[in-house]
Amino acid sequence: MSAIHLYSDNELLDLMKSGDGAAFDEIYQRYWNILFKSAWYLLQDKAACMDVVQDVFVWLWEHRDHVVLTTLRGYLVMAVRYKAANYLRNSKVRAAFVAENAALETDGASEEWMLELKELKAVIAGFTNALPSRCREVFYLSRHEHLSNREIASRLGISEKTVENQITTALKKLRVRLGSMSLLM
Amino acid sequence: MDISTGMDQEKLRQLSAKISDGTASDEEIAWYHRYCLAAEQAAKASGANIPDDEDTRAEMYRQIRGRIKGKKERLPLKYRYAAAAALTGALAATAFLYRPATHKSQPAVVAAASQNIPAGGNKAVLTLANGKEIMLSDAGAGDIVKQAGLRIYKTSAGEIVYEATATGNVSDTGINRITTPRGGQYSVVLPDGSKVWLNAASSLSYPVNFSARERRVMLQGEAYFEIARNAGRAFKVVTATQTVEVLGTHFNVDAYSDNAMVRTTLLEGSVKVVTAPGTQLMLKPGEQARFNNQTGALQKSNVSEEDVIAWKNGYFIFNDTWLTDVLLQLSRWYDVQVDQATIPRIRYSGSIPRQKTLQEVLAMLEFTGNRHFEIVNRTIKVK
Repeated sequence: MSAIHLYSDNELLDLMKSGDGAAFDEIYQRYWNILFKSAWYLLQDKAACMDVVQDVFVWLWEHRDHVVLTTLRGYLVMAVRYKAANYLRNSKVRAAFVAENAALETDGASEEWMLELKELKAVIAGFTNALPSRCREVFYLSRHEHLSNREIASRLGISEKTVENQITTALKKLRVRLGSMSLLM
Repeated sequence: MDISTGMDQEKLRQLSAKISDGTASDEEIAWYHRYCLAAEQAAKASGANIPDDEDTRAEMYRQIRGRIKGKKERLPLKYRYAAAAALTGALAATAFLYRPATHKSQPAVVAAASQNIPAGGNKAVLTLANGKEIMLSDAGAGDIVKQAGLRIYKTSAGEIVYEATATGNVSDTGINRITTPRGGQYSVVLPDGSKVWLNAASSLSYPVNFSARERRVMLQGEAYFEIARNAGRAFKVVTATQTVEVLGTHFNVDAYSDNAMVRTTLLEGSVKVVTAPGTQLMLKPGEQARFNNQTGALQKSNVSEEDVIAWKNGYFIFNDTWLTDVLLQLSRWYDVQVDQATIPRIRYSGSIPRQKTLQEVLAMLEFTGNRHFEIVNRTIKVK
């Protein structure tokens, strides 16, 4: 019988891609708890965790036509980690855990770890709609290295006007995808 | 950024900002990933209580529904859950139907609990040969008729059973009829051991004692048959426009008079579909014969058996089904009317449990298809 809980993740994804709300519901049933826990480990704030998980599911539904993933579970958990970053950057939500004691070893990278990392990169690329590289560079220098437009212009050998345009473009794109999240920034 | 030795709050903020903006390098993404794992391990070790209870699940689900339905702006974080928590009790019964209160452009007809239209259930009327009518439901299992050679009894699972209790001829040769109302379904085990599931608004007439040559029943509406094998006595299902002949097999006949087609679907064995004008078709398992009531054309094609007998298994399954047909099925199960004038030509896919209320089903359709439904005076209108 076609009881929907018997479907595999991939079958559910296919159903969801064809617009099947019941398949989406089943995905929610399967993964809300895992995702909520994943968010909790990072944020330990109920409202923020709920927001992150909702964002991920809404995003999944709205982008169902072009979701590309290796495993649904891995993808969703990485999406939670990506979304959580927007809260971790914000001092109002205190990082649940600051890893000053945790040795962030680079070694011991298991195969699973590498797969997850790959998925995380894919998720970030998907969510951020990959800014053009020059645009990204300009934005990075402006917002993270805190260089002035003139400094950026001279460093990259472009005009200040171009720097200004690139930053405007970057902000526009970022605003589009961050949508409602921007109120937290 | 150097985080190789550890990470303080400020470094974490910078790193997260880059992740969030999409400006992090591959190396920084790997750092962030590593940080997440370390944080996860530490949090697990701390053993703190995680508020991942049923309320959280339901509340997030409502919020997701609300946002997917097209409302993109949200309240600031601090107001959102407080407002929702206050409403949780009132909304518990209408989880699927929640709309943000500010969403005034659409009438909240569907959400009105007082208009909740429940799913159909096991209901039917059994008409005996002498004209006596017996109401059937889940309640009151037991014998209905006990006479020479025949016992008719009711189980508690929406099923009526005819049982030959003695060898030799059963004296009663009259016709019995089982009729389901709109919003009802029932099943019957015939004297030969064949089992028939009747969908809503359908009826099946059959002799209490089949003749020696054939087992003949009359069907209006839709039924699924699992026919006991008997090579010597063909089983015939007669509808207004066609006859299905079988020896022993599983098949579904959908012969509602308001359908454009009579659909006969074979799951097991083989059947012969004979239409009134004399045309006939043999079906193999997985095949469906469609008889067009208007043109008289009889054609066959392959279909999903699961979809066809979903109703018997407690589901509506729509597979690229025209909205007209979707609503027709709903109208029979929920005993409502459909405003035909408002139905756009669109298709739906998906599966929905039949025990959901009509409001829940419509909410799911809205969710899938960008159309809004209203129920006014037990009539479904598409907006």
